[in-house]
Amino acid sequence: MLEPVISDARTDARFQRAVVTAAVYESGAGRLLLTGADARDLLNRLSTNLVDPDAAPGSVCATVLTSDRGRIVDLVYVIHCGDHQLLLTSPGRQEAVAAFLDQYTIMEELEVADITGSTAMLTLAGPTAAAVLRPALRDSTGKLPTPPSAILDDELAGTARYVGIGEPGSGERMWECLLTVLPNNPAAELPIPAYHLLLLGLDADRAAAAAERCQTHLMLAGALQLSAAAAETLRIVHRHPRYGAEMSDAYNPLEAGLIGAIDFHKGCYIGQEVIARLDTYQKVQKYLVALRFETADGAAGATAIPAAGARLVDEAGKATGLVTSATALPSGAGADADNGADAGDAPAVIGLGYVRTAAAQVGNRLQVVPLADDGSISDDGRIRPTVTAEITALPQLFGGEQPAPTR
Amino acid sequence: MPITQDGVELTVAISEKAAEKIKYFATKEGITDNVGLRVAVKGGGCSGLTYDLAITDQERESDKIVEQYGVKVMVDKKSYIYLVGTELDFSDGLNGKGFVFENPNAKKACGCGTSFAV
Repeated sequence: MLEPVISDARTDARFQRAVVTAAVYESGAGRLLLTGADARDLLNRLSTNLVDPDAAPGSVCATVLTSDRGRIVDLVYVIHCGDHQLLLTSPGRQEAVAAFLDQYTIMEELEVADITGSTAMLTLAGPTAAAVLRPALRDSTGKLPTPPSAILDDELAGTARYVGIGEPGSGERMWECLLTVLPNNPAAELPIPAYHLLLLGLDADRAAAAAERCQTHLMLAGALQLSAAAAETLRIVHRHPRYGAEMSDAYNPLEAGLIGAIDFHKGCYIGQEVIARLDTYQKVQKYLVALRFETADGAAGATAIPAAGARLVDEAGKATGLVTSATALPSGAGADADNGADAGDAPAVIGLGYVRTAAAQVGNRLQVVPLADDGSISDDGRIRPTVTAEITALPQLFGGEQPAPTR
Repeated sequence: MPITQDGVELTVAISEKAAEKIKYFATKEGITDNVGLRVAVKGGGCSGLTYDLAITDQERESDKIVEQYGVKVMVDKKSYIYLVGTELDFSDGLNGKGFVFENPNAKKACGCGTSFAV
């Protein structure tokens, strides 16, 4: 019998189990299909990482499209599918990314099609994700065949393969699927496997039903299904920056902990001069931080969840940063993911934010200044207890600076 | 304002020194007749758009062509709107920058001068 979806991570204790096993949810990532001989070359000229024109089909490159001021247009994944490229954008950013590409397409041979609405994509993430996926894998009829037994090798992080997907135990093959194994953080002691499953051969009418049915198959194999809200909490547990919160035109990739997606040796791209200067002269003004919140009396809970946009100040009251995302977890959830959540009885309130460089140190404690309308002042006019934010990590989604290429 | 020479509108004007260098590079590539310089604009570079130069003796139907100092400057129509009025010079010497663009359409340029924004 299938377990019901985890709709609210704050109140459903099963969320903790999803964090330490495998969670499945519908991916909101934008999907753009790029065709034309110049697709990879243009992406290489417009983004921070090396999108190697000579890379083998099946490679996946995480790279950041940046403005000429070095600010984030979007973090995208370029999946080399042989005769075309699939570009995964942040949720809701597909149109903006397509417009950005179009702006700089002059002589190039490139066609961009938004296939987000006509496709279905799931994300399967967690320490046991590989074990969940294995019984659902079938042989592929696609162009990048790989025996299913080899799919789950650690070496395949940062690659994509066509596979078949079917009901566990039935031997039946229901969908052709592009399975993308997202790039790991090479510095992480325990990388958390994350897979995107793009179901192929569908249309807009059948996409939603296929996504639901495929999720059911993965749940039968042991995954716990998350609602969009619970998936957002999982994102904060995993410290992934989200466009609109931790990524926007207000931030550059160095600030957002995306230095591992920057190639400092590839040559020019839009914004390169600004980013290289910030790095060389160590002029990065602020950094993305992971935060753990507590009220002044040491308690944590729903009332202590700061609103996005709440300011962070130091002991002297000096503005030091701001909260960009925050959530509460059932006790112990995410402790194994080293997200700074307590394993004790009290619910953990965690989040992400930006803090000025001088104050961006693990262990540093700051005060949260609530937004005026977030209920911090009670009906009788008294100010609720102060919330403290402790910096628990400086997340780097793809690790630190890439080593120089060997020549 | 388009640059003109003998009443002819120029898309890209080149200096005599630049023309000499183009002929030098053309000779090295084995091109001595119908020496041409293809000037194009591509997305990329630090500021968003970047120049692309190629020696050629092959004209295309879509080219705007202006001959100066014995060199045919060939500009594709798609690049033309970014380049109209541009002057191309050559800066040599120890600290020279090679081919240098003076593009009146460029509102910003990167430090090395090979990329611009409009």
